[in-house]
Amino acid sequence: MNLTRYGFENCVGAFFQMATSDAKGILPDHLQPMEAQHERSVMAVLAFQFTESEVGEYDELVMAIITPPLIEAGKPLPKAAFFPFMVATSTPESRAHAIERWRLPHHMADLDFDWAEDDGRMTLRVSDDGAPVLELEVTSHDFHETTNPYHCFTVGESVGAEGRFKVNIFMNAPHSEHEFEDGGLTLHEHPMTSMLTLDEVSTYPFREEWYRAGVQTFEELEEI
Amino acid sequence: MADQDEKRTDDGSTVTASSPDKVAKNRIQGDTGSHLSNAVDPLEYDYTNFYFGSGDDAFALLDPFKEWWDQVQPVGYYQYELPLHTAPGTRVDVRDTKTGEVRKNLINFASYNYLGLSYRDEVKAAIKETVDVYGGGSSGSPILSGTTRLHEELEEEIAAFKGKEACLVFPTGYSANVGVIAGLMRSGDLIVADQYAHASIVDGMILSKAKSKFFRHNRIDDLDRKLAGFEGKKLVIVEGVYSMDGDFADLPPILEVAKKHGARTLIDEAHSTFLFGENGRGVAEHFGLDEQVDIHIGTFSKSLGGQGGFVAGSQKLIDYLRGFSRSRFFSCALAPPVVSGVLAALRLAKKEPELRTKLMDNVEFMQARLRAAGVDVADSESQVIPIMIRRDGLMFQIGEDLFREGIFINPVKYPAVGKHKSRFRMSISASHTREDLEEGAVIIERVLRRHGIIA
Repeated sequence: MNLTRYGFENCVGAFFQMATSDAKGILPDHLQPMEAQHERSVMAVLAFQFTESEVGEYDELVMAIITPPLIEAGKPLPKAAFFPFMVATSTPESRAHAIERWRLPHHMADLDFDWAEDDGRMTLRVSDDGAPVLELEVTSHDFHETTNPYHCFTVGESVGAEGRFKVNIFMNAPHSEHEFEDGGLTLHEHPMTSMLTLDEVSTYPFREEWYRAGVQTFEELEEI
Repeated sequence: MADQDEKRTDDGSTVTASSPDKVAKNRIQGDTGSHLSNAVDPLEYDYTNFYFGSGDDAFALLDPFKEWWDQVQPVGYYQYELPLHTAPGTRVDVRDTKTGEVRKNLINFASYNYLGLSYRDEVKAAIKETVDVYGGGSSGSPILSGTTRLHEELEEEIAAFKGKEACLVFPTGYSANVGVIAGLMRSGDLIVADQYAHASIVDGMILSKAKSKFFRHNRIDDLDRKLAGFEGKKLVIVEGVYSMDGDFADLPPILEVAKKHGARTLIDEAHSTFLFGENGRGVAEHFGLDEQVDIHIGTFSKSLGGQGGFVAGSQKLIDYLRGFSRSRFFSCALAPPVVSGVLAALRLAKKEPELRTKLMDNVEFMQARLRAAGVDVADSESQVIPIMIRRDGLMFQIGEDLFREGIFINPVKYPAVGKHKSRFRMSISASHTREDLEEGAVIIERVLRRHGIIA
């Protein structure tokens, strides 16, 4: 099997509640949102500082809906599953790579990523030619060495193709996660956020995650 | 595109990376094929991982769940549903399902018996007497043949105790919340509940089909935001004492905001009725706001040590709910012996206010004793005292040590609470002696110190 690896310095992410009606509108028919509360689905905002990849160094922002994983007897248990509905990066090469290989829908512009780490808190400001896209704050707890498996779902129609896909992703890094609700999110009107009812997205995360200096490994894309 | 390289791993897979050596510095270690997930500690998974699954067979999740459960039950989850071999008093005998031994004379910090009434002689005598008259069960729905004179008495006495016009009794506290919320609210209405609302409140909201929102715990600004702009029927729901944290609803500003938006209010006083306020009516009375709350829910399984739930309010409200609370309508009425036991316990609670005083003395002592030892008990203001561990991975080891060294107490971890908000939920009773509490505190201190939770 071909494996694709991405070395990163930081991967921070947080889960925010959003309206289930929005989540259902974003997801393809064969997926359903995981609810944190009744009528409240989960949006993950993930940001990567990639230091090593086939397409060099770049930053990436992923906005995804958390969905149930495909649990099957005898198969490895995934930690979680997600459907990225909008991705943005800092370089054209990384966009072309992710669209071609993983069928991920992208905002087709180079975004600017401003990372600031201070006392266990990562603050990320993402902007598009000077216009703010979002501000994300993620805090850390204890870091433990982990190898966490995930399922990532994509559909061909996101990138003008056909088919339903899944790829198994492994995060291999010191990992922190907690639900102390210390972080924050500010979303601005922008094509990256246009599929959301912004007032319905919570401004504080119910879960915060942080992977430090590790490797993200993709197995091959499989049609489901 | 950056320069590429390919290499074969031990399992025969091909790895593509721009610069393997540099990536290696970022900790590539060994294979990263799918088998790696086998290295994940099964305790890293939890019930939420088995909620949905693929395939058309309704049993599709049973095998993966069993595979996981067989690994985690012996190393931790056995600590749930441990069978008691005694009454839920301050000392209990509990079977260790891991070893088969019955552990004797454990200090009981797990039961809800806040006033120690479930095993009082007066309660047991009332139950025995009722069995002779009515037998074991009520044999019917409350609206058909299940209501006895005892049920009527209980509803009358609870209404009088709560200072309300009327009361309706339910088979459980759970069914009270479900029946009242779904009985009153409809599709197109709005319900806004505190984010820490009990599952029975959430299930009532789901059944009602009303639009549901949750406001951040005790955050008035968020409640205001969630209510703003909605035209139509609105209901705000809070709990008197929150069952996992032991803190109160911040009722005065909550009621103010609800009133501003024209919302009706419901308070679930499962953990606070018979305990707080001048007459023990609950947290609403504690704040002097008893009359301002529209709907009062309570349970008989906590302070009264019995079983069942109730709603108290205006006669019109109760008359309406009598016809629309399906969880009551379509359940068998409470068994008469249970009703008479609850009635006896209620009368004791009213007659012996010193029980509440004793409980609050115990709470004050235990909270101060634990805090002095450096134990984090969060913001508890009540007999529900969370012993915060905040390290999910240590919970079962600490739980096993506490159990084996003499304490019966419940571990609470994700998903019942947030990740790393893990804690042991301590329930204090008026029946605990100072010696019980001191002995328990010494064990807790010793075990938490051993695991590095306190210095």
